[in-house]
Amino acid sequence: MRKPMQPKDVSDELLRLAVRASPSGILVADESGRIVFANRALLEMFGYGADELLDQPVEILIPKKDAEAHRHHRAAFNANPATRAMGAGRNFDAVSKDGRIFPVEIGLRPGETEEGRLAVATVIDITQRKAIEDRLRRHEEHLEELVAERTRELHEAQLEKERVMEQLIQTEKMAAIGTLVSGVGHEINNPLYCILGMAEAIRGEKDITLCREYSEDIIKYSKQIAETVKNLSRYAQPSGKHDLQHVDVNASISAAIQVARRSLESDDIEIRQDTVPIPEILAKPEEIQQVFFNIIRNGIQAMDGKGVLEISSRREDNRVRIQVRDRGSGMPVENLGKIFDPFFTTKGPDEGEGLGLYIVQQIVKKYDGNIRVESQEGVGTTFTILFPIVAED
Amino acid sequence: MLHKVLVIDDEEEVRKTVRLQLRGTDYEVIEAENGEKGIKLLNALDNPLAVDVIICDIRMPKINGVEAVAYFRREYSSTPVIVLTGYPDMNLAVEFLKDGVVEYLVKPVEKEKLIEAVTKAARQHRIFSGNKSGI
Repeated sequence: MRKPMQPKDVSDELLRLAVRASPSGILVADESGRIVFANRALLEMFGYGADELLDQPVEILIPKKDAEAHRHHRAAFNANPATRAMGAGRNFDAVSKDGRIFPVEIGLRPGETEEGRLAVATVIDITQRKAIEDRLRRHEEHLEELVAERTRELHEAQLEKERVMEQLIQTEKMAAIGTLVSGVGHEINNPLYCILGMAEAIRGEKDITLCREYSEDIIKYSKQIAETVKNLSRYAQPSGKHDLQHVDVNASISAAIQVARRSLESDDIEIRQDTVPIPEILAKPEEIQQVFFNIIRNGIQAMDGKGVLEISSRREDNRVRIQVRDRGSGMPVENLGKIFDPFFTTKGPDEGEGLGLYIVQQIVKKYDGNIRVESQEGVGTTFTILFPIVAED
Repeated sequence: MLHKVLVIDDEEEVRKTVRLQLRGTDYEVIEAENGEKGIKLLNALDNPLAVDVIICDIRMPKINGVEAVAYFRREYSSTPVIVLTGYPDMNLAVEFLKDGVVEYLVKPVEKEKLIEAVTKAARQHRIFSGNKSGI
């Protein structure tokens, strides 16, 4: 078995064999840029015979558009000869005898010989590699486009979901307003009747003290009506118009109670409010009010006209906890898992679409909150809602 | 002779307005703040015919107007009832009128209209109770 050879041991014959066998093109040019040697692989790559290429300037192998630049590179190389790879990682074009332009990668090495300074170049045709790289790049671009498109679709779907949710809330509100109308009739017509009566009384009244008293009454009742209208229009406003705000949960509870009271079918329902000062949350105020209104209304309907509804608010670490407890009929266990499903209802056709608690859950989730329900048949139901509070500075 | 009108409404302001509208007429107003108190007041009177007209609201705590009116029509059928309410509810109005309620008035009601309704009701009471000496 032969010993491994050192470079100095490689014979000229062996080198000739290696040059001939190399799949890379090998080209030697002199200082003036004339080709003095080309191996078989290079001749095949460019489609020339040996006698056609020898003694020709190397620019014969370079497209016309790049020839001038190449002459400058060559001059620079002669001034400062160094081993380097040309065209590695970038487009470097060559041209074959039949005019086909193709990408190549070139390694360049200067050499001082008895015949003067020579430059040895190895040339690799990277047409196939480029093609694969191009395919890969196109594929990557396509993938990026797909990802962008999918992201856009998801974003649009999210926007659509939010829009539908807002519509749903608005529809539910309008349905609730239907039941409110009779309550509002009471809220407005009663003070209106008093205003009318007082005005009539003033008309025939000579006692100025009594006239003043009736006038004060009229002012009081007028303000009462204005307040009712203001609250109602605030409630009816689409929530989408508002940005996220710091919301006073207790104020939302009070407003929801006020609206719910007007829609009470019976005045025998007592609503007890046990709220303590708690930090604010970040949300759309109309949506938070909707959460409480829907739960309160649910409780009222569960109590069948008579009973006590208790609402409490407390701070619990970095959250606020709101509990709404009714002493109504309660729910069977099998219904507990379904009450937040859309269109699930145990009520009559006039008492809602079964969207109230679904909307509640959606709103609570939207603000990273949590809602749970406990219920016992014949005893009542308790809803517990947790909202994260606004970070305190 | 003054005739008695029992006004049943949970809002003091409304009772005051009825009182003002009937001021200077032949009608004296007595008041009750809900159906339960109205029924108790009527039951406590020696003479069931002592009240000539009942004006009753619908939505009130304890016994509401619908229950109270049904009771009055059953127990005091000769005492005319006027419903005075904030709710313009046609179906309820028709039910009440079929049940013998004299008028279904929706607030706000002008003085003349209220007096007219009370006068109509009082006349009906007089006819049913055989009291020819009244207005």
